[in-house]
Amino acid sequence: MKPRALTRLAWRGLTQHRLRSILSGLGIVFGVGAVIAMLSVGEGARREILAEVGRLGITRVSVRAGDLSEETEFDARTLQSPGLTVADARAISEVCPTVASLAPVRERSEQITRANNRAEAAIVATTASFVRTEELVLRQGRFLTDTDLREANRVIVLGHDLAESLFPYEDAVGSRVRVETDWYAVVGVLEPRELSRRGSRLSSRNVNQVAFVPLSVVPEPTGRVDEIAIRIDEADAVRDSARLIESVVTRRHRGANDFELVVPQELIAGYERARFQFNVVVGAVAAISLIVGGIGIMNIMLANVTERIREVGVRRSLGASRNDIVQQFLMEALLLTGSGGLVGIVLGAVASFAVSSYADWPTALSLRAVIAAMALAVGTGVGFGLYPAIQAAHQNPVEALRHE
Amino acid sequence: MAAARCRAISTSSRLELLSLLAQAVDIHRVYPRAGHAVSALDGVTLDIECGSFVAVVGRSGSGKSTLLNLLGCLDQPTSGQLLLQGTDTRTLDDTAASRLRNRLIGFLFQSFNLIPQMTVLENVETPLLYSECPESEWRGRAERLLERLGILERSSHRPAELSGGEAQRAALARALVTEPELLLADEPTGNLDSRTGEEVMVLLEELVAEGRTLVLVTHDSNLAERAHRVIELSDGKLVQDRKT
Ligand SMILES: Nc1ncnc2c1ncn2[C@@H]1O[C@H](COP(=O)(O)OP(=O)(O)O)[C@@H](O)[C@H]1O
Ligand SMILES: [Mg+2]
Repeated sequence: MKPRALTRLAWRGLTQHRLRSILSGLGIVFGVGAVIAMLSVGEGARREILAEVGRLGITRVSVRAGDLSEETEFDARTLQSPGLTVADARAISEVCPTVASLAPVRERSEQITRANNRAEAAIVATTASFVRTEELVLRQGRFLTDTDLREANRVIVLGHDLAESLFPYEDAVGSRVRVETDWYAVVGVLEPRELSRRGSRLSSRNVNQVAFVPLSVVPEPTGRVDEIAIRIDEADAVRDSARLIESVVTRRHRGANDFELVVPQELIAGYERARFQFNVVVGAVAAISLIVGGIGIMNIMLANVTERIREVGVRRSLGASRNDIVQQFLMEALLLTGSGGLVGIVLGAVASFAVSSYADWPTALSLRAVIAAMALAVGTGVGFGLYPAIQAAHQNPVEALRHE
Repeated sequence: MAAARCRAISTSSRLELLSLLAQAVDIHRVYPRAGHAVSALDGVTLDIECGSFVAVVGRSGSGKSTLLNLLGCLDQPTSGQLLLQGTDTRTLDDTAASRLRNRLIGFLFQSFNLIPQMTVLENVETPLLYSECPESEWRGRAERLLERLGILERSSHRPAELSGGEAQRAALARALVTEPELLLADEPTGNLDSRTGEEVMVLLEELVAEGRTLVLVTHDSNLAERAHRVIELSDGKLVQDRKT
């Protein structure tokens, strides 16, 4: 039959009871809206985590000294684990050929003063190779050098924001700052680095707010460090390298579980698993709301059919086949769910926009989500509109014509 | 024009068969009912020629409407054979029967049966939705008929806003819009006063004069006398078939 005339006819059928049609379409509207909003939140989280991992680099791995619980601390003591040390770093670089660069890190929060400006900052004591491991970019001056390490020079490299706050008007490089009681010469300032809005396990420190000093100027007789930052030479090798690093450190710690291996690439995998669960929940919400919405549609379509049995008889007498009648009522259901779906998409987009601006969650509306939601709505129309349409078509025309 | 068509057909080789628009051979229509079955039509045999005007009379419940519904392919005989333009209706599936109904038959009902939520124009266009006619021609065709039947100025009205005579004319326009050969009218003047009823009858007679075939069910013996032929049914049987 003619699609344009059919659409007009269906529209006419729906607008005959405007309020009734709108109410019955609300189930679809809210169902699709909820699905769109949830998918947007999920997609936003996905993009954020990918961006974050991308910023850190998927070839980045970290070994961190664990926050010891009572139990693991007892373990560590009885097993006589030396803890995470510079020696671990050395062992890793010796054993693991895929390590491109590596730097042990000791981190303290201390007060930095310069004239009247002072700031509380993370002082990261590390080696010269940290600049490569963390892929830092210098704006001015230089990073720490091996000579600095060897001679325990009191030099300091400032993160961009920290430099700005300590030296609002003049160049930092060449000046001196005081860390607690010791004076340091500023030798470099970093380029600013874009950071994610929220802290997470991945972005451990804000390099814009950090000051770097040679590891050797903060002596530590045990050789303990807080972290060993590692860069693997290629992405494909990350997984195997991480396993190797873990076994090296575990052996050196005599089996004590007093460290933590952070592998962003695996965080993605973990995230993907969480996302799968999230999607199952979204799917369940979608299924439930669309079944409820579909029942509403079916209910109203059955009422439409009952009300218009005589019209069906008349159309049959004018030459409509059963097929034509099915098409007419199915088109009504499709138009109802289709427009409900469109309104629902708009509603969901507005809701996710509201979520991202008030709750400060990142959201993103993907084309795939829109297509999926629309397909669900239309599928509901067919699924729940078909039975009433077939029922209309199978009315006996003679009896339908006599129907009051 | 329809007469010309009928004549053209009757000069063809299938002359005998095709000059007959409809041929019923011993048709029965039995309604199954709890206890006993009701035989609405009980062995009716009749031919309807192209261009003829046949009145069907009989008491209420004698099977007149049943016969009309069978002729219009809206219903199937329980047994017997019904040929429309030489085609055995039992061989038609729903789609084919519907197409035949659309092309060949126009129904006229006592209660008009206009679709209430549509305008007169839309009602008249409705059969074209189920025809081969392109959408661009619908309006022109419908308006030409409405004009001819004198209700063009009513084309944007709803059926509820029409008088009985206007409603039946709108229904007639709708029945004619696919240019069917056979008009089946079931007491079309039954709901009209005598003057508007007469107006509708005059229109129907004009159509017959143009060569269309008309089967008219009526209670009114005066109306029946205006037909070429009167058929009387009683208890589902054909009890009289005479020319006037
Ligand atoms: N759907 C039906 N079910 C059972 N009996 C029916 C049905 N339709 C018609 N009848 C019966 O068939 C007989 C003929 O009906 P009908 O053709 O409508 O008569 P008429 O039009 O001559 O008044 C009546 O006895 C009627 O009760
Ligand atoms: Mg009757």
